[in-house]
Amino acid sequence: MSNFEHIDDYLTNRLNPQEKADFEKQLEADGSLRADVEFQKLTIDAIKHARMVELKTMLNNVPVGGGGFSTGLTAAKIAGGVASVALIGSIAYFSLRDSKITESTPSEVKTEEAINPVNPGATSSDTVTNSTTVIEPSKSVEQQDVPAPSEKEEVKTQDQPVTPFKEPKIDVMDLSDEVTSENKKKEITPTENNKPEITPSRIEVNTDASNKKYPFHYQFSNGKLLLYGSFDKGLYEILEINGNSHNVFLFYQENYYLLEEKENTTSPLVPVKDPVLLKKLKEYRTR
Amino acid sequence: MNEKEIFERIQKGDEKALEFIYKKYYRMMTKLVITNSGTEDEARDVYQDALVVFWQKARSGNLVLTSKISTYVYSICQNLWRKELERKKRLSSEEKDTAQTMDMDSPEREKIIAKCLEQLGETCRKVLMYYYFDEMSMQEIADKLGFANTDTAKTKKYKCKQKFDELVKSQYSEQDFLD
Repeated sequence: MSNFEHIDDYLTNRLNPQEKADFEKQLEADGSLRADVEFQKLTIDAIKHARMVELKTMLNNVPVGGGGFSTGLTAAKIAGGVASVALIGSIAYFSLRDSKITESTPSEVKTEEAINPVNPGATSSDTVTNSTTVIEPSKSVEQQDVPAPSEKEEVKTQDQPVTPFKEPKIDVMDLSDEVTSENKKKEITPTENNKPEITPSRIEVNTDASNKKYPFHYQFSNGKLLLYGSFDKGLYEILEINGNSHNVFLFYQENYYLLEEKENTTSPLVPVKDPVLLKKLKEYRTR
Repeated sequence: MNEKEIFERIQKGDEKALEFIYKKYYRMMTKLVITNSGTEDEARDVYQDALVVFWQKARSGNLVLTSKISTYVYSICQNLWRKELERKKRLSSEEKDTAQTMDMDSPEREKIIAKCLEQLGETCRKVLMYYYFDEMSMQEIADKLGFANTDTAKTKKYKCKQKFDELVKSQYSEQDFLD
């Protein structure tokens, strides 16, 4: 294999561990080889960077709908406000109109309709409309996904007769299933005592990939966590679970590792194997 | 498109599938950053970076997705934003940034290298990007770009890389890079 290919395979992690170790020994001894490797690393990183920029530019050109999160929320609020006003206006209009025609309350009208024949004095259309009380304002407001509790309550307490009305067609923000499901999950608060609480970790984390003595270890020191190993190659997550006791886990490359908070003791990272615990940890993480 | 289809398309390099995900989860992902002291621009940047990471992992064939795509991408966004907040904190307390990646902060150098890549031509550019970024095998590159066989792809990649190295060296001496 030529030097160029060797360097290329080394920088793209295509060498097996033995070949890699041999090549690194060579590197230590050969200054010009080291220079070649550095140059190749720079050019390869440039190619990767260019590809990344290309993908990001492509994504930047994707229309995501006027101004993002904050303006979307404002538009939704405005739409919701307009819908609520229209709703209240409709209810007020029909209730005022109906109160002119009939003197009885809606429940009485309903009861009358159920027991007695139609009042000959009333018009047929009014009878039909009075007996078919359809409006469920609270439901329609919820469907529109607009948080307007005061207006909701106002609508709910109204017991005036209403005629069927057309729900206003509001083009509101269509939140993804994940958002609604995540929101639902957040609303489910633990009802039992001592149910573990998962909090975003506040532990300060540092990584050290250069320590050959500790290729995949961890250490707590002054409340900070030091991870030994090549953690730059993948993403990791620290989970703090506070229940009867406080436990800290590391999630990295699809494995979970228990981190015991013993000060100044360097320990190897051992993946959790207990299936029950793994299941719990997955649940906590996806919450 | 269901989750499985989207993921399979991304693994095959369908950029439209990536655009689809980007649009679908835009608000959800940017909300994470915006509600954690970030701006809209930062949120967009983090989300795009996260999707690029996801793309790279999916393309390399090393990713086995055990959760929803959104869950996975969300966790990448969380990590990236946390790192960015830590970096800002370090900068604000005037500690040195000990980043180990290549110093691409020099816009001048970046422009020059980008120009060198453009001079290569589209096929060479794709071969190099697929090989180094998407980590495709020679067989996949040959199939994707219509080369006769893996040897042809390998030779093409070698020649393109050599040409690129020469172009970069012609712009700089090696010493410029190692300073």
